[in-house]
Amino acid sequence: MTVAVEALGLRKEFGSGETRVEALRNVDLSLGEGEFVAVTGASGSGKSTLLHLVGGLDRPSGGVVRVGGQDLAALDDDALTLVRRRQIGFVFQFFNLLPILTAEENVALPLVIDGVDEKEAHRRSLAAMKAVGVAHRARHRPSELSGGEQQRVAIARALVSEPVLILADEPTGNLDSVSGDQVISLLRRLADEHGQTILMVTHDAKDAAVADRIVFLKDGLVDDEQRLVLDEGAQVADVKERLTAALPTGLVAQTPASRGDMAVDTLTGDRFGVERRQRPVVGCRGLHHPQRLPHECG
Amino acid sequence: MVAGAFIILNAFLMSVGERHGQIALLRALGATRRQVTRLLLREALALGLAGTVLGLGLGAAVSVALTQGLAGLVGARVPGVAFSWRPFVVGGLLGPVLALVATYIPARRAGRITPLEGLAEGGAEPPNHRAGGLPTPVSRWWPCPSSRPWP
Repeated sequence: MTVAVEALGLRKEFGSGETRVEALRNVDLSLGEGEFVAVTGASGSGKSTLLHLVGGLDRPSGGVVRVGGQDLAALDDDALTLVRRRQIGFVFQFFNLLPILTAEENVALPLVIDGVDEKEAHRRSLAAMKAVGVAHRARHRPSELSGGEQQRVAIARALVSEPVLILADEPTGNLDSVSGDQVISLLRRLADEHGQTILMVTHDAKDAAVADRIVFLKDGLVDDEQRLVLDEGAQVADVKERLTAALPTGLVAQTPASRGDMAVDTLTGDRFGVERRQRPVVGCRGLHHPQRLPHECG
Repeated sequence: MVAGAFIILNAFLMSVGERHGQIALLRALGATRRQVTRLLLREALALGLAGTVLGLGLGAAVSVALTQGLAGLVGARVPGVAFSWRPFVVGGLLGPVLALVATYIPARRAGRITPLEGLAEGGAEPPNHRAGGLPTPVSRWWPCPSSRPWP
């Protein structure tokens, strides 16, 4: 599997002297193309810091981050901005849509910033919105959309530039359980059908369990003992058992009360269906070439 | 004019402060520092032009009205207002230029906003939107496909 994203010996420190805090300590992480990885751990474990560094939103204190083969730490501000624009799509907990723009204009924003022709931007925005099922809401402003719809618009915005990687920071954290499930299923589908590489940070055990692999962070370190790979063909009971065993103490307790039904004990079989692991062969990335074999990629 | 420039500077600083989260979002989505600065300078130029045209028209109308009012008040014939092109040209040029000069520093400062600033807690949405109030007028100048402000 081709490596899409790689972090080696990644470190991040905040403050200096006595107030110095090590948010990340020599974290190694690798994502293959089309892989869906969840990063989880207690508050303050360094999950969001890791996401910010991999997304080029912040600079590491040490180590290497490679996205699409480019070392982000070696880039100047303009070059790093270009990587964010063309190679990384962001999905935030609070949607972060511009309220004055329609859903379609929000989706087109990365293309407009990149100077893409207006007609082309329109065509690609609609295609992305169709892929996530919100094309019928194209002319609505964010305030006229439900939370789930807003997050799907945000996912369309992340997809529209056909990035190497989508980073999702607690994508269901601001949604009710039904909308949250829809958003997670959508992310799963993007990985399965479009070969989209996804790195998701989540507190939620049920959401994390939908990924191909779960990486636990503890005090800024990858907790290797807890590393969990959800193999293809894994049986529902097996996955549930391993996930329960791997959960760090207190993680379930941190699940917000409104999403309490998502605690591990109530995990449903559907979310761990064997069918989900039977992924189609995906030869090339992007919305416009779903499920094509490598020799068919243009 | 100096007082006017300070008023513009102050208003623009407040406006940029209010839109911190939106600017951070643009930076996160891939807008360069230069693009953000240029975007805000374009906004300032557009507002400066609109204000100048409005100010010149309003100034001319008020001076005519005042002259006529004064004539009516004293009951005497007062010669009409004589307009010359010079104040219109000078004012027409100075208005937008002054707006650009006064907003240069806030626009540069906005360009230095990092992507992480203001992104948490839905920072792209200004407080008055969350409260269901009217949108900030200048936020209408944010980019959209139909009015591309990008260089």
